[in-house]
Amino acid sequence: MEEKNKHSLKKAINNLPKYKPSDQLWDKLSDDLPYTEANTPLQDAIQNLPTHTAPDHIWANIEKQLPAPKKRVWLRVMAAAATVALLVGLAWTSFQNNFEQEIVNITHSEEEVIPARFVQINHNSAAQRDSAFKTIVRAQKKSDEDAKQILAELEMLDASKKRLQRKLSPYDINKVLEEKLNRIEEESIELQQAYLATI
Amino acid sequence: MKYLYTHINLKWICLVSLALLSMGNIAAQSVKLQVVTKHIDKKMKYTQGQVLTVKGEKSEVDIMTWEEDYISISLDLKAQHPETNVATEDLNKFEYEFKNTPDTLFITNRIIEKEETLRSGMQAFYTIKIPESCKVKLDNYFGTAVLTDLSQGVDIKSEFCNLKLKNVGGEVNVNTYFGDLIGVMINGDVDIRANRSNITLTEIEGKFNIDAYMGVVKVFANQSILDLNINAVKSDVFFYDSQLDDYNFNLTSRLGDIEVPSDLNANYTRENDLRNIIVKPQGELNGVKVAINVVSGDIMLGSR
Repeated sequence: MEEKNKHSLKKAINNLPKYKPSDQLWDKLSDDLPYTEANTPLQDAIQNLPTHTAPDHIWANIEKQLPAPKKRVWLRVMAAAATVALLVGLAWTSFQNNFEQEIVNITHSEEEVIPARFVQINHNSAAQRDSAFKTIVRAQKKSDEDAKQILAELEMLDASKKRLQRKLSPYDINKVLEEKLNRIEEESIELQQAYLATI
Repeated sequence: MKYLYTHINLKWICLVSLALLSMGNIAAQSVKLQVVTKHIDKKMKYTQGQVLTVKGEKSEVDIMTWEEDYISISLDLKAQHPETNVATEDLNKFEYEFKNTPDTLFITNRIIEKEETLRSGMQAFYTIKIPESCKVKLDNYFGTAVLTDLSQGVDIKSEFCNLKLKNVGGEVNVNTYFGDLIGVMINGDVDIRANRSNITLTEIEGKFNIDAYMGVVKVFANQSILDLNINAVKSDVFFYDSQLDDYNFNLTSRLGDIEVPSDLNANYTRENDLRNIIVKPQGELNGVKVAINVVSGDIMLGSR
């Protein structure tokens, strides 16, 4: 049947009033449908389906046929780099801090030492000689310039000897310092003899 | 035969007994010391221009250069006594300090207690490694010091301390009292003041000024480019080289002798107690000057 007055009909339809249903309308219509009425045929069909258990190797085969997952190499490289950076950072910080640190370690050991190795601090003969020399000097009423100079040197040497002796203990084994003491003794003897020659 | 065996056995027993007795005797004579050591490791940051200043007391100091740009210090403080408690107590009297200021890096150690209270033998041992550009100042008392491969010069003040300088250059100042100095391969501007100390210099070059009082000065030159000036009192001075006639010598001794090889073309003068020898060189080392002036001491030139 051929449509006549097509334009008039279209115009009349367009002139009809327009309504828009609310958003909840479709949900309400769905909720109002009885559940059993909507699902019973489907549930019946599912109940009547045959059941089968797939053998285990099927899953392995399926897994083989799946495309291999992309290995994230870049992630590993980044992780390794980050770890190295962290370690280097820690080491550098430790190194920097190390300048402020002192590593102190106390140990104990035992050593057998023969007495000849200990420094000879005092010589009895030297003490007696010095005492006798001082007695002679005190007995002199007058001394010439040479004698005064010798006495001044002897005094200075005596002060040096005492200073050195104070730094030594009976258990020192530094023979270099003993050699210095001996040198002072030798020079003292020479000076004392030189003084006696002026009398 | 049986008598012979018995005789030999008795002889051996006697010998072994004697050996054991003598060993026991030596063991009885020796003293068992308890040695307590505090070992300290330290690194110090170094900035170009800083001077390393070491002040040691009863210290054996060993300073050398290395290729790193910081300073490394290894310090051992030791106290020894037959009783551990005493050694430990005395060790605590050894004070040490490391300090870093903009101009100077300080390393010091000293004994804080009055010396009379010290019962243990005490000694400090330093090994210090420094960058090549670092200058060194050392004050050391009652010990020894060895300084090796220092090109930036050293400033040393020491008492009762033997010194050894090996391969040292730059400005070198040494002031020593009762401390012998041995210098090998020193090249620079050198000023040495030695009081009651012996000086031995080998393979030296540069400008040297030496003041010595009561000691022996020995110089072993090797055709060196030298400007050497020695003033000595109550000291003997020896100068050795294989080619003495290449040098320009001016030798003066008051109250002493001057001894030179007979084949040396020397101009000798003597006035009262003053002796003088002048040698003019004929060889290549025309500008090399050695002036030695001694009072109450001898001068000897020798070939080696």
